Amino acid sequence: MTTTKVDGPASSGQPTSWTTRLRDRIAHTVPPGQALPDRQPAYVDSWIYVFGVATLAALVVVIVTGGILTIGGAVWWHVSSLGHFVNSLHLWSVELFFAAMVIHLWGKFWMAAWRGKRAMTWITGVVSFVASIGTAFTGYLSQTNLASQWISSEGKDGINSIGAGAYFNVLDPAQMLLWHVVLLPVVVGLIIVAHIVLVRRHGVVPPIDAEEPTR
Amino acid sequence: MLPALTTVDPAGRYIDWGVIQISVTNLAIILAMVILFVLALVVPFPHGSSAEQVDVRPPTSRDDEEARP
Repeated sequence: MTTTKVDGPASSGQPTSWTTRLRDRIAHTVPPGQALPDRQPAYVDSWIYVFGVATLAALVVVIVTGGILTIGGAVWWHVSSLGHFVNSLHLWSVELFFAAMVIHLWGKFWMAAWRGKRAMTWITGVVSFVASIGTAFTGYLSQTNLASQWISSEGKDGINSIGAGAYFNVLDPAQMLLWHVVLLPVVVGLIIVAHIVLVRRHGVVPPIDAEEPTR
Repeated sequence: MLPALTTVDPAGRYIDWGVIQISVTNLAIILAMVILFVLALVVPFPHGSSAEQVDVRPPTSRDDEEARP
């Protein structure tokens, strides 16, 4: 029986398989021990650093309540008191999500958090903010009530004016609902994952008047 | 030009200031967020044990390279 020599690690400079290269790339995405750190820089002990994780906590509630709503369907909250309650949880967790995210944005802007090669951290944050607004918009279109009918009949004019109406039809409730529960959550989720990985990779930005701490 | 506080319909009160029209509720929420932001900067953060906070930079995985974007 013949055997095949296994390629060496990527760091040795020898040719490697794509799985080895991918494994090394994943392992070096975040510094060792920083994916879920148990220590933090001393300057993080300020309430302004709470709003990022507060946004994430609200997002977890949004996703869980949204999942429950998909089980009942888009009419459930009109015919069930439990459905009404879960729908309300979904709405108010979204409100807290945006409030925490905006305060997080204010803090990161005024501390210039893109410093120290953290530009992509900032950019993924901005993009996820805009994408979240779009996700919330499709959610408001999916209320299956008179308000959502008003939003769609008024919103069509603005969206048609930018030429997107042929592809993004706010008068198509099926399309809007699928964008809200599948397409946009996947997109927003991937961007948020990238954002958090970048925060773990580069660390929390130190204050403007402080030097980057060294080990 | 001073903003005008008007009652448009039973759905709520709105403030008109030139091209800006905002509900009183919406304005109150925004003001509350600003207050929360200021409080986050000035309210002292409770300090845990000294062992939990160290002044360290996250160790880099490749010290011979600059941080990648």
